[in-house]
Amino acid sequence: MFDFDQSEVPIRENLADAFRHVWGHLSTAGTWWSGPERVAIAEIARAAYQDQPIPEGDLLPVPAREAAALVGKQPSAITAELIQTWEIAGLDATQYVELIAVAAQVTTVDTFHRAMGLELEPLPYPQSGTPSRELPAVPARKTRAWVPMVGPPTIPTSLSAVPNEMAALEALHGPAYLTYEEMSDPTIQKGLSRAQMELVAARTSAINECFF
Amino acid sequence: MLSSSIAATNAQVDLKAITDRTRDPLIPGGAELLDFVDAALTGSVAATARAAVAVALGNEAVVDAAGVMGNFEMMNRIADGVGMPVGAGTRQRMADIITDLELDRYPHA
Repeated sequence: MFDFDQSEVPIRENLADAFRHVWGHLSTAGTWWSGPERVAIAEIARAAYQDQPIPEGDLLPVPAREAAALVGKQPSAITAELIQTWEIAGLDATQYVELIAVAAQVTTVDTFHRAMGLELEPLPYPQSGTPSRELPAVPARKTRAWVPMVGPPTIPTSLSAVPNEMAALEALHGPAYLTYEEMSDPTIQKGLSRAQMELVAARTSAINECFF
Repeated sequence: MLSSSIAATNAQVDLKAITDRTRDPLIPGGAELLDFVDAALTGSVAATARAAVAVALGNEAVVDAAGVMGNFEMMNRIADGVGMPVGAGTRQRMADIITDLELDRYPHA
């Protein structure tokens, strides 16, 4: 898994490790979704991104299927009203936060593969287990964002209603881009200079019509 | 982030190239990097663009660029999915960039 034998250029081992970690994380019961449900979310997000038919199945409730497809394909089309509609239809706000995390993580891995001209890694086999239902130590509250967060809404607190997903985000963010600590250094140089990294980031956001 | 790294390193970058692909971003390898992002994210075959980045900046740069794209595909989904508000301080700090790049046309701005 993620051995990158087909790659024309060598790929850092910390990226392969991070992707293996994501696959293990996706396949295991999370906070509100089981392993099979999380893999189903990833499968829908992946299909939607590629404009492929959304896989059939009744594992996930309808609002979760809709949300996973939209996070995968066109997150800029998500609105507060839509989230409210999903919530009324039974998709709890914290379930939705975990769904975003799962869909977003699989997109990171897939985008890397597409950019590198690699075949997409098959999604992991779901593991059995029960969701932990772990709540943050400090209660999450909805303030100016559309979902509850611990503290003021910022990118680092975006998934804080589901602590397990915050940790997973950080584990992927560092190898793929920069750790939060590295981000404070505007002169950091890796394979790209910081300015080059940010140029790539800004163009990605522009294509996604995302302000951030 | 781009503007602070430009300021800290005295790099010359034309920020308008982010949304106007007729412009040269001026940064070394910048045009090749933008072509690579466009090819990878819009469903085109990225092989030519990837090779151009490798020639301009090296293999390590290709991997880093693919990683950054992946990371921001994730961050964009999270920011838009949770309805991350754009604070008044951010608006004030980025006023020129918001105007130059017409960022207010984005749905969640």
